[in-house]
Amino acid sequence: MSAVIATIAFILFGMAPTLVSFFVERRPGNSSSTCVLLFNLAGLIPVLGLAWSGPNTGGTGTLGDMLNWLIIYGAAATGVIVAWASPHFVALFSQIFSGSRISKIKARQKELYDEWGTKVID
Amino acid sequence: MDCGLLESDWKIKGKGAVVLDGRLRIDFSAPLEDLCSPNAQAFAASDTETPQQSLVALLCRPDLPQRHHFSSWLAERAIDGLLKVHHSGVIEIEGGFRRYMIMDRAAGGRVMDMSVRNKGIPEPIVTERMLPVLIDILDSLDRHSMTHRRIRPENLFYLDKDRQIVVLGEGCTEPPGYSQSAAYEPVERSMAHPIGRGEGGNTDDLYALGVTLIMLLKGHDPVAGKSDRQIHEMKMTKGSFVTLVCDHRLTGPTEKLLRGLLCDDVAERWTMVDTQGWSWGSARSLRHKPAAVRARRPLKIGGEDIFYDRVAAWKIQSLGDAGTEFIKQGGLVTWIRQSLDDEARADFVSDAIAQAKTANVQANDLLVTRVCGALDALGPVRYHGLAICSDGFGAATAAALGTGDMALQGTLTDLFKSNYLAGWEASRKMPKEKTDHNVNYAQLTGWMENSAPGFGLERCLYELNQSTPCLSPLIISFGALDLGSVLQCINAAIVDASEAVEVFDRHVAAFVAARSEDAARLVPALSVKSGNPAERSLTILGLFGAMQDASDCGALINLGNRLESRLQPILELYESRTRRKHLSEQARLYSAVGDLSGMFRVVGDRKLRRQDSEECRLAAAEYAELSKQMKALESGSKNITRELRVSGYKAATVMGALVLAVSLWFSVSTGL
Repeated sequence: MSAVIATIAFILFGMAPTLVSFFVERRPGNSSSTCVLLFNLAGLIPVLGLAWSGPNTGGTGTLGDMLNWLIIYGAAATGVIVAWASPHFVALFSQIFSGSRISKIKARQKELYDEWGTKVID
Repeated sequence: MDCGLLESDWKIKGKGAVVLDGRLRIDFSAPLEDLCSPNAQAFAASDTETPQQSLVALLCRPDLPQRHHFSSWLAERAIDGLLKVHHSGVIEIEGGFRRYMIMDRAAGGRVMDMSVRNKGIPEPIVTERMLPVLIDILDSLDRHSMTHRRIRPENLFYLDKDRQIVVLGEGCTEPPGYSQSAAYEPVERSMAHPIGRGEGGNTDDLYALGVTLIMLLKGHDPVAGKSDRQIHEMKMTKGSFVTLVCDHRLTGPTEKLLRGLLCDDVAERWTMVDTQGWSWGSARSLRHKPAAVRARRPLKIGGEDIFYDRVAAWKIQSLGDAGTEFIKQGGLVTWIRQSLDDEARADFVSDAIAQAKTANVQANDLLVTRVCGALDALGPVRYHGLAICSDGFGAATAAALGTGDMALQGTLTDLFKSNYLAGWEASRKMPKEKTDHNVNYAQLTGWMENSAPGFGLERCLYELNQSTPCLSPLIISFGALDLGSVLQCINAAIVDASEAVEVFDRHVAAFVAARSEDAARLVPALSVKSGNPAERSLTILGLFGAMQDASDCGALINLGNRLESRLQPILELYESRTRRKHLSEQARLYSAVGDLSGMFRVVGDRKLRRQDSEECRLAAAEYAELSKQMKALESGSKNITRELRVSGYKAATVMGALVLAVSLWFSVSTGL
């Protein structure tokens, strides 16, 4: 019985970051909330496992272990950080690979201008 | 119009001599007064290649057009009894350009000087020695559809010093019939202005021959001292035969000949066949038929009593603009109806007056022309004081443009624009075979309505005169008569001409349009008022190319270089710079050998221009697309766009899913 109580408590309080994230973001489709949800769950599942692992070590006793809350909230925080950083990483990679493409475009445009003059710009 | 310069105004006071083509020498210090023509001065001439040949150079009046088709024809062949033209051209003398003709010299002088009263030549000499020669000449001319139009006693010469061989003098230094007095011209032509008496036909030459025979037989002019109007009236009253022969005694055959030649009925007048038939002893006899209708009562016009319908037309035309008011007064209609007893003509004139009174500007303008046409259907066209025969408009236009006579130019312009001639031509069913052109008069109106180069009065000039030289200021001194000559003359003249000189002016444009069908098709491209100057330059190059092809005149290197230096705007019609360079190099090769047609083929290829334009359009589209792509790439490096954010979240979600999977696997495997 104590495991059930612990599970409900962990879900209610442990998934609070995800709830907050969905409440704040309110966007349809792909958003950072999904990422936060997945990381939050990744942190919650091992802790729920501990709650159900036995009468001596599990149950409501796990609720008092601060490490469990750290795992849950730490995973959620990691999800927030990853969600925030990933667009910047994508932009960075995109820039790295687009540099040569811009050079090629500029070279072709110069060729066209040299051949056709201002007519191609008009 | 002013073609009546005093002799002192156009005659040169020649000094020295000139040598032409390294062989023909004209000695201006040796004038030959006894061989002068009314509108040409005669000077001694010689040919170093044939020094034994006796020649005379005729220096033409500068303000009159010459009959180039006749002189060219005479230069190509020898006609027995007709002075041969050996050479003709244009020389610069006393600050002006004059056309000259070098001809055989008649050593025996004139047959008869009509300025004095001579003793008549006996009839047997005239009919047996002179007449056969003249008939043979006219027969030769008739077979080639040529007319002489200056047959009279002063123009008959003895070729030899013994005065045995009779020859006919020149007929090409002035417009046809220009210097003939009213006596030598049939009534329908003598009433025209001298500049517009027209080429006429062989019957006109035969009429002049008849008059000449009478003058030779009588030794004097029977109508000397009489005005043209008096001569017209005498011919209309008594007939030309009676007017000119008077009481001179003639043998039966000669009288029959002269009655036939001098018949005033155009349809009945003897032709060459009749005249030759007479010389073989068979010919038809003619009765006198009056040349005009005599009214019962006179009509007072300008203070004179007029009895004849044709004289009335002549008199009304001579009133000038006052003629319109005279006709509107109404007395003319009554006179035609009551005195001439001609209801049809009276109704026609009445209708013409009614139209003129209804504020119809053109009907008012043409009132005199229409009424005179009704009174004298066979006579010349009368318009604003000008009377011109149907085949005389060419000479009149040549005189107007050659002398810069603005008044005459204006009158002819108005007449051609009015389209009156087309209706008049259709109603009269005029024969075309004797004219120097094959112009439908309706075309004149079309040409006059377009003011662009290649049209206007200049086009009318060259269409109506197929043998007139090009009057372009650049080459007027060359007297170029055909397309090839015009090109060669331009090629020679531009060496000294400045860059600013317009090579392809209105005269050149009109000349080539009239002489080449290919060029005529290109000329309308010059009409586009707001057209691209480069397109105009390309059209001009095309016209020169068409002229070169049509004339086969050889290389035109100077002209090629001039056009090549002006090629840049044409090349800029192409957008591709590589193509421009390639075309420029190719065009330069053609210009170096004077091939204008080749130059045009290179830079005027329509298919290539379409291809160039299409390629340019595709290039512009590609450039725009590349710009769009580059803009997207550049903006992506500075800002986190929505696309980048979505992509980032997708990546973060994937990472979250992986972490969740690892967490599940860890929990299950460790038995948590």
